[in-house]
Amino acid sequence: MIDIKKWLVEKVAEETGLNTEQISCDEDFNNFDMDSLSIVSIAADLESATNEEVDPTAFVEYNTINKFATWISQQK
Amino acid sequence: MDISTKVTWNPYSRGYFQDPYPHLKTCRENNPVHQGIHEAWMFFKHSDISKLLRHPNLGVSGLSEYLKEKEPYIFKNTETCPYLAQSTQWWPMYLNGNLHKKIRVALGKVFQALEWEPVILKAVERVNARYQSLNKFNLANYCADYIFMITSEIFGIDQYGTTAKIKEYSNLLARSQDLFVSKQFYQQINTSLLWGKQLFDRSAYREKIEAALKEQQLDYTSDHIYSLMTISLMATFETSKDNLCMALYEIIKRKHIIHLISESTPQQLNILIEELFRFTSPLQYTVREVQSPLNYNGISLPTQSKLYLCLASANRDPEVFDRPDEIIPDRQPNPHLSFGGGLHFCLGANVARLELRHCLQPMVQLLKDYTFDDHGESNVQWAKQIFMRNAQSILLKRNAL
Ligand code: HEM
Repeated sequence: MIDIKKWLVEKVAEETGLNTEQISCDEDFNNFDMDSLSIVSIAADLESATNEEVDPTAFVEYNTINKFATWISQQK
Repeated sequence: MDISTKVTWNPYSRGYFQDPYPHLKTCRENNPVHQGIHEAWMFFKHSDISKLLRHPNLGVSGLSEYLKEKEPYIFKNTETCPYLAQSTQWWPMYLNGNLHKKIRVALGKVFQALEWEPVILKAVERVNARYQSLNKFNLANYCADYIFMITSEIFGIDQYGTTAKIKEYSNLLARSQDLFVSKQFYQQINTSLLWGKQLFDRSAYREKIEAALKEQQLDYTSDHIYSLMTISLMATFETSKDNLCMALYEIIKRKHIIHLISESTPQQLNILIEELFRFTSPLQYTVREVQSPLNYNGISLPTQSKLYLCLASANRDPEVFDRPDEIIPDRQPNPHLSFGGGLHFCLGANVARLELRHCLQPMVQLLKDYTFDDHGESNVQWAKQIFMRNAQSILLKRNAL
C-alpha cells in the first residue's frame, strides 16, 4: 500500500516544479501552476501505482490533496 | 427545479462505460444543455444537435493545434521526437474553411474511385471461413478481422507489420481524440505514430491521394500525406468495426432479428441497417467551437467556447424516435445523426453501409449457432472510451447440438 497523501505531494511537486515542502495539502488543485493535462496524468500514474481504477474527474469534487486522499482511503 | 439538484454530465459516473444510455437519458431529460464536468457545453437533444451541426457561427475545433500546444508538456524531460501535432494536421474533421473543403474533395474522390465491393465480398467469405470451425470466439475480434481485411487490402498494408500491431496503432489514433487523455498515453500514441510511418511506403492508395491533392492544387509535404494516411486508416477501421460489433451483439440477443435478416429483401435490409447505425452510434460525440459570438436559446456563447454534441443521445431522443431504446427493424423515417451532419458529414457513410449490406446475412447465418459464453451477456468488456464506444470482448460459444 502506498501512502496516497505523500505520493500526491510528490506528484504535484513534480508537475509544478516546486519542492515538496511548498505543496499545501489544503490547496485547491486549480491553484497550483499545473498544465491542464496534469491531473489526468497524475490519475493515470496513480492507477499504475495502485492497480486500482482512478476516476480523473474525482479531482474536481475532491479538489485538494487532503480531500482526495481521504476519499480514496474511504473507497477501500 | 433548483439548479443544484440537476445532473451534470460525467462519463465517469457509475456504469457509464458499460452502458452510457441511462446517464445520457438523465442528462437529456433533466438538463439538456449545460456545462459538463470538464466545463465545456453539452447538448443532448436531437433538435439542438441537428441545428448546431449546421450552424454558421460554429466550426470544428483544431486537434492538431491543441496537440501542438500540449507537446512541450507531454514530452518534457523526454528524448522523444514530438509527432502528434504533425501527424494529425490534415485530419478533415478538425479543419475549417478552404483547406477543409479541398481535403474533403480530394479524399471523397479517392474513396469513391476505390473498388470497395469486390474487396468487401472477399472479406466476408474469408472471415467466415476463418471462424466457422471455432467453437468459441470473441465477437469483437471477428468484426475487427472482417473490417481489417477490407482496410488492409484497400490501403495495401497487410504485408507490413503484424496485424495486431496495426490494429493497436489504429485504436491509439482513435483515442488521441478522446477526452481525459493522460500525457503517458499521448506518449504511447506518439511512439505508435512514429512506428507507423513505414506502413504506407508502398501503398497504391498513397499515390491516389497524392494525385487528388495535386488536382486540388494543394502543396504538401510527406508529413501531410502521412496525416491523410493515418486518418484514412483510422476512419475506415475503427467506427465500422465498432458499429458492426455492437450491432451483432444486439442482434444475437434478439433471435427474431436473426430470422428477419435471413428473410429480408435488400430494401428491408437497408432500412434495418440505418436503424442499427442509430442504435449503436459508434461515434458518440462530436465537438464544435464557436467562431463568432453566439446567443443560443438565451445562452451566450463567446468565441472559442467548446460545444459537445452528443450524437448518441440525439439518436435516442423520444421527441424524434418512437420507442427509442428498441431496435425497430422497419423504422422509417430515421433521421439519425450517427454520421454527423453539415459540412463534416461522414465521408465513409456509403462504405459503412456497403460493408453491412454484404455481411449481415452471411454473418447471422454463422452466428445463429452461437450464444454468449457462460458468463453471459452482462459480462461484456467495454473499452474505456468516451467518444468512440466499443466492446473489447464479447465471448461466444457454439450451441450444443
Ligand atoms: C459506421 C461507421 C462510421 C461512422 C458511425 C462514422 C461516423 C462519422 C461521423 C459522425 C463523422 C463526422 C465527424 C464530425 O462531425 O466532425 C465522420 C467523419 C468522417 N468519416 Fe466516418 N464514420 C464511419 C465510417 C467511416 C468510414 C468507413 C470512412 C472511410 C471510408 C469514414 C471516413 C470519414 C471521414 C474522412 C470523415 C471526416 C469528414 C470531414 O470532416 O469532412 N467514416 N464519420
